[in-house]
Amino acid sequence: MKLRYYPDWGVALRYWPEIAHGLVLTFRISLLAFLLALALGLPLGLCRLSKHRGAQRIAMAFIEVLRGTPEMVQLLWLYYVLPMVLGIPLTDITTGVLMLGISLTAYMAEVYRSGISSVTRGQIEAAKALGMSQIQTLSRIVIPQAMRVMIPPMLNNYVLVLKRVSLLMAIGVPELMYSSQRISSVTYRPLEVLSFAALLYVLVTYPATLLVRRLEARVSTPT
Amino acid sequence: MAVPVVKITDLHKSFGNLHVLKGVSLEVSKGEVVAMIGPSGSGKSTLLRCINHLEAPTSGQIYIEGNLFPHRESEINRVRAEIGMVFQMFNLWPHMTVLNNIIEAPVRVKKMPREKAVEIAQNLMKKIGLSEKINEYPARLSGGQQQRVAIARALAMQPKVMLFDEVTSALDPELVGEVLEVMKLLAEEGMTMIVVTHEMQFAREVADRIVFLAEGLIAESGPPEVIFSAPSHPKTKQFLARVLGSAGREPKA
Repeated sequence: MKLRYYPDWGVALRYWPEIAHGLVLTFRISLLAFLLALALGLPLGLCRLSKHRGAQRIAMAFIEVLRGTPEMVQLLWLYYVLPMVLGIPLTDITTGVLMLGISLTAYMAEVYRSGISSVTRGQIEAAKALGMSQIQTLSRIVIPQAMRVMIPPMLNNYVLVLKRVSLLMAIGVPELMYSSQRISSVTYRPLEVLSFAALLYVLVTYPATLLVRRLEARVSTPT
Repeated sequence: MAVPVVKITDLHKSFGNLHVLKGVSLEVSKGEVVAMIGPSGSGKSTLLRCINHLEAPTSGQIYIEGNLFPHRESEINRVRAEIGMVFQMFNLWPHMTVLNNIIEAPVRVKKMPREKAVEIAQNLMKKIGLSEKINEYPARLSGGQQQRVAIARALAMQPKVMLFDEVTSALDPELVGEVLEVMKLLAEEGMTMIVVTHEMQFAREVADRIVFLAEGLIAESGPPEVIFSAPSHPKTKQFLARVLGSAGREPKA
């Protein structure tokens, strides 16, 4: 049976300003969330590696909860609970950034943990034997080497966040998906508009995915 | 009488239920070369690692130049800077050149100006016979070369005592000699050294004193001539018979 639908591919371009705004907001949110996770992931990862049993257990519990719950649940939970707990209203965007950032922190902690573990214990002992402090050892010996191992998965995580921003449409954040959905319902053109949105996502994530693949190949070749 | 560089009093070290060191006491004087020999598991490496607190003793005291080893991290690091250690697996930092490996600690820990550290590094590289490799990355060096660089890295801190933890055990036999040569040179220059080793020939030739460790205790200690030719303790005799006999190496008269 033939579909009696005549696509109007120009519709997406006519609404380009709104779509562009959505895209820019998606970028801004993803970047903020990523930076938040980048910063919080290191102390969490270090706790996870810590010899201190208490710190390690708390870190593990935190990570398990974050990885074990759907982001949508986390988002709605924060959306309703945070203003109650803090007593002040938060914008949708702030709530969204917090959810994405905290959620990603759990994954970043694992990236930091595996990166730091990849540096052999002997090298750290050599640094200690020479009188280097914990901070010196971490910053001069461990992190520079761990970075090589950590950058591909971190980039992967960024791509994941970029896609997850679309969840925020559930709380009314005017990012790319929200805008696309809105436009497709007023124009009755879901095929064209949503396809266009999907295309934009691919255009934005594909270069990053390619870069990850190339970096991963470089990491696995012997020095 | 001069204060010993290293003094260990009744040292005990347990790992959980495993009692490795059962009350070791030892004094090492300035310029003395002490070779520690004994069967695997006797606690030789553990003892060495307690001296610079890479392992924390369970009980007992360690004195470096008469001062009790401190507990605070900042002070521990300060004392560690006076003790040089060379490891079995070299442990050079692969992301840095040989030069940077050597100058890292003097610059960061001793706050030495970079130019001075570089000069020291160059002199050390000349001493160990590897001047041309100073800008290479460790992965490009052979095991023997890496170990010599590791020795230079430890020496760059101008330590009061050097600890050697089976530094030739991971090397191919033909590369062992070049490392032992450097150690011999250091000994001749008067460095205080504590060497855990299986190289009996080296121990006999270079050490001032042999310490035989078995099952967490010093069973016997004395000058090489005595220990190798006329050991008194049954365990020492057993160990030497096994090690020297099986290797077909008779200690030179």
